[in-house]
Amino acid sequence: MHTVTDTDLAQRAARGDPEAFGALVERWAPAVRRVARAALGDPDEADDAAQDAFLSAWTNVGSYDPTRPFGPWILRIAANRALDRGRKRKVRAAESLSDERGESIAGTVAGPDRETERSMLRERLDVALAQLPPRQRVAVTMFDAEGYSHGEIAEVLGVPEGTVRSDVFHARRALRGALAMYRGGE
Amino acid sequence: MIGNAFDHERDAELGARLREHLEAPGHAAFVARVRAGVARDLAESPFEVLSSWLRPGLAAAAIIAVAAGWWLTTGVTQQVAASTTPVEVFASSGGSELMLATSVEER
Repeated sequence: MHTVTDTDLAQRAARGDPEAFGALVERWAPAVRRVARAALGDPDEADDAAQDAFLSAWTNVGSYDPTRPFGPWILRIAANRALDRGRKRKVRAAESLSDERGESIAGTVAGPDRETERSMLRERLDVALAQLPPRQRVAVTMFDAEGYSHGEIAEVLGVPEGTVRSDVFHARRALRGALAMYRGGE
Repeated sequence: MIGNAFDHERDAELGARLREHLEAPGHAAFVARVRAGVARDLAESPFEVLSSWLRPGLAAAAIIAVAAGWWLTTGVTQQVAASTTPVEVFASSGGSELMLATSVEER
């Protein structure tokens, strides 16, 4: 548990304290990077988006409302940055890449040792995630991996709560299907 | 356990797999990269402020210079005109003796 709260650090950062902001980066980088990666897929591009998000947060930390939790605030910036990048990049390369990966997995699904199994599981999850729309990836990651509520995710993504519920439902169904298929092949 | 897609509860197993899958290596390097970006932003900020003032500052200086030039030019011209015009008028109309007489009478 942190002794200094996010709100304290954010308020110090708003007064121009780079060390306080650095402490926030230290705390929130893992979640921000996961959400960016969920949105974009590519780890390097995700890190660029995550860095953009943090620098934008540094510039705008004065607009952060200290009566509200810091997590959704920074994740909203990160999700928007990452989804914007994804929109600009468009689906062009993503779809062809996911097709190639799908073919490669289909050919190598029955591996002998545990490491191979883990690696195949990762690849299958990769393919399943790549086939989901970016917003669904972010929604399911924030719900199941980061532990945010539907309402909080709706605020982060700027969509109605019902849309988030639907996104999480569809994403879960696809991901569980992919993982179940893998288990069936064990 | 991976369960029903309609669940409103968090799916711990799916969540753990997603976290593991999306986890990015190089946390320290990433944090250092962001900190360097913040430091760069702080270093650049004063120059950005100065450069943002440069254009309006130059415009204001130009306006002041033009206004000062106009004021000096018209002010001097008016002073010269005020001091020379009656003398010229009187001189050209042959009234210099009259002017002299008037000024003597006033004394």
